[in-house]
Amino acid sequence: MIAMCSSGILIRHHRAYVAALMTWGLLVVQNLDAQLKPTEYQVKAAYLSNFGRFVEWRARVGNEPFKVCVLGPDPFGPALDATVSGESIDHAPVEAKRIAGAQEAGSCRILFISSAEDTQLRAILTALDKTSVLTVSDIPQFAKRGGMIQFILIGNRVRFEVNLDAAQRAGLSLSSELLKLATTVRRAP
Amino acid sequence: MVEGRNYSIKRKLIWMNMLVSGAALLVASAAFVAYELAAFRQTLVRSLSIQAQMVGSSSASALVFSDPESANKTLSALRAAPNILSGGIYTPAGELFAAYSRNGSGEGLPLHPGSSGQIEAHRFTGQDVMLVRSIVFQGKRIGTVYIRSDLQELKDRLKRYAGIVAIVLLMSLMAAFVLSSVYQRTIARPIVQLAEIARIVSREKNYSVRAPGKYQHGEIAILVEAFNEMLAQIQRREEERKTLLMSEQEARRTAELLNRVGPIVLGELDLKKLAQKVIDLATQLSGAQFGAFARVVVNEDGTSPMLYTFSGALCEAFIEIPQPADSAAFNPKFSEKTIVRSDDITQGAPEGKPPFPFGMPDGSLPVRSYLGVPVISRFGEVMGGLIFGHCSPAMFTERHEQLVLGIAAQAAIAIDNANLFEQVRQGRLRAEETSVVLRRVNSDLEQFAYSAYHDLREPLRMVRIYTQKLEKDYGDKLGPGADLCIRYTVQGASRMEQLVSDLINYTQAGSDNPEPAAPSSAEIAFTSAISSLQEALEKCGASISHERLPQVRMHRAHLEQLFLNLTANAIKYRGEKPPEIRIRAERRQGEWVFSVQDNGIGIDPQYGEQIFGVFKRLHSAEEYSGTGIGLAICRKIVQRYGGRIWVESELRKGATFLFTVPDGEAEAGRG
Repeated sequence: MIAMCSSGILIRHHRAYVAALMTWGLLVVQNLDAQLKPTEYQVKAAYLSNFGRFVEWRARVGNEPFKVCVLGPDPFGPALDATVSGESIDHAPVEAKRIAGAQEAGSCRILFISSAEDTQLRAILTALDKTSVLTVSDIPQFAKRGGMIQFILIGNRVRFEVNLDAAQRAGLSLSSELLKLATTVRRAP
Repeated sequence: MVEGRNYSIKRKLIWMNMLVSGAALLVASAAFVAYELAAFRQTLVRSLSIQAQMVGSSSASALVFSDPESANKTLSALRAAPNILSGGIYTPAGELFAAYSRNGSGEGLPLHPGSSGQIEAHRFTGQDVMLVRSIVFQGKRIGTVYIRSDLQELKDRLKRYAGIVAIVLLMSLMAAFVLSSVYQRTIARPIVQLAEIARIVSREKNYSVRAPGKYQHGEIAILVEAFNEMLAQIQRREEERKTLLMSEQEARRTAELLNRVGPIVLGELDLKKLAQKVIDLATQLSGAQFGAFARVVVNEDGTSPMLYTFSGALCEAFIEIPQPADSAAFNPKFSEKTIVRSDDITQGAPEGKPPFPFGMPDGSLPVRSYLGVPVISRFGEVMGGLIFGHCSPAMFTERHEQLVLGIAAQAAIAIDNANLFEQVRQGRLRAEETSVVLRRVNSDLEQFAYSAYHDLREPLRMVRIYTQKLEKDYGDKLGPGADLCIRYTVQGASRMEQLVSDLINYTQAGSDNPEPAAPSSAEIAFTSAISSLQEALEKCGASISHERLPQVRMHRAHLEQLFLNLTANAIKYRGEKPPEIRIRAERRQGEWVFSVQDNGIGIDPQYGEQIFGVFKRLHSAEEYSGTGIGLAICRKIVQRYGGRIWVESELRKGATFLFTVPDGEAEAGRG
């Protein structure tokens, strides 16, 4: 019953939690669930590398590692490293990299901009102009503000918005498979 | 019935053809359908596989980004395929990610699609087919698609195939029926005809029918030919058997007839009647209209005319019964011991021989069929012949000939028998006549002897008495020589008297007494005989002993005579010692043997027989007195009773006289 399906369990568990956990037994179950259930950033980490599988970069260079970079304070913790370890995209090994400034993002394929960089966002995006880096962030209005993919939470599920125009301007083509999953796709007017 | 028989083989052939073609067609159709269904299943699986692939590739991103709604949307595209009952997408961990069901409910989805190492697997159940396929995205298995389809189309197809097969089968069978109905005739018709003929043969026992042999095909032609050959053989054998049976029956009938003839003919001893019986029987049995028995009779004067006996219902129509002497027409010569049989005697005799005995008086009906056989005695002598006639030709067969020959043989025997009987009868008649004459002569002789005795005794007595009177009254007056003369005269007269007396005894001893003797005691007879000899016995000092004597069937006087004569003989012929006489009787093989034994002078065995003759004496009257007739009387008496008398003796060693008396029916007890 416990191992039925993740979404069902989540819902049930939630109700149970709201109804106040009265017994130790249920606490154990809840703890167990907590351990099994990926955290938000674990999910986001997985998504981050997976975006690489649905995006084509214009220029590609040999066996260069596929770098997934994080700008600003890292919200993933060890989750990102764990996710990318051993993974490869188009025969290129996936690497996680933390960078301090936008100027370092040249070798990155995917750049996650920490929400702490909200204020610096315009400068960062401008700095990244002319590069073909897929920008991802959970900063509110990120897609609207010129970012490419913005994580959003619908309920407790991680979804995303796509600014197709921004991606195309950066010379990236996004797979229709990806686009059909996006909650909103912003296109050029 | 004939139609039914036809149907059976026809039907079998048609059924066989239809069965064969139907079976072949069924097998072919089944193979075809099976192949089609297998191919269709493959097609179905392949189409399911393609759909699974499409679903899988379309839902890869949804799986990657955990978007079940998108996946559900993808799955719902399966609605376009009406055969898909349900579908599902599973995470690699086996959890249901998205689901589709045609009728909206989520039922029927398996929890585990049974993913094995393979990328794709499918399974047919009775009602549906399910297929699972791994979703591989960029070399990584990211989930599993599951699709379940119903088999409606397969079933529809199956139905369609069944319909087609049924129609094809029906049409083929109809075609086969028509074709085999046409072509079975070439095989069935000759067989049906054969069967029909076999039926006729077995029911009517008619072996002369044949199967028509116009068929050219190999086996049928051989069959018909062999059948006909078999019939021909059976017919031949049947005819042989019938012929054999008929000849056997004929032989048996002939034998039976002859057996019947035998007692009738052989019992008849009168020649005339015998001849009539023979010819009547022979004519009747041979079926002749006319029969004649010609007999050769040998007369005393040396002539041997023919005697004819006729028989037959129509014999008057053929001939006027002729006198034997003047029947020139019937002048057979039975010298040839041959048989003449002619189917038509008017066409000439068989083998050119003159027909014997042949010839019919003028005006008689013409004889066509003719049969003549000789009657031959067992000494090979031709005794006559049997002649048969019939006015239709070819009436006499070999069987008649055999029959008539058999009758002729029996007739010959019967005639021989009758002749022999006649001879015996005449011989006996002659013997009886002789016997009567003899008896009369004998009686005359006895009469004569008796009267002679009476007539002779009286003169002799007178001679003796008057001679004695002469001696007494005139003895001293005559001369001395006269005494001797007188003595001799008296002696002679006495002796003559004795002789006459003995002779009459002898005659009487043999005279017939027709009544059989009652049993009488030999003891009494013996005692009586001894008492009359008492004086003589005492005079010579004889001792006499006897055992107890039995009763025998003999007149007592005769028995007494026997004992008297034999005992007197024993005294008379005594030796120097006083006589010892022993009388015994013993029983031997149905008769009593009496013996009188003495110790006298005995008898030379060469005279053992002679002494029983009349007047036979071994000694002179001077040595031993006697007439020489005693033993002859004894023998006559013994013979009269069917016994024997003889002597056992040697000279000077005594003699034993023995005589036997038959025991007769009555058991004679001793005493």
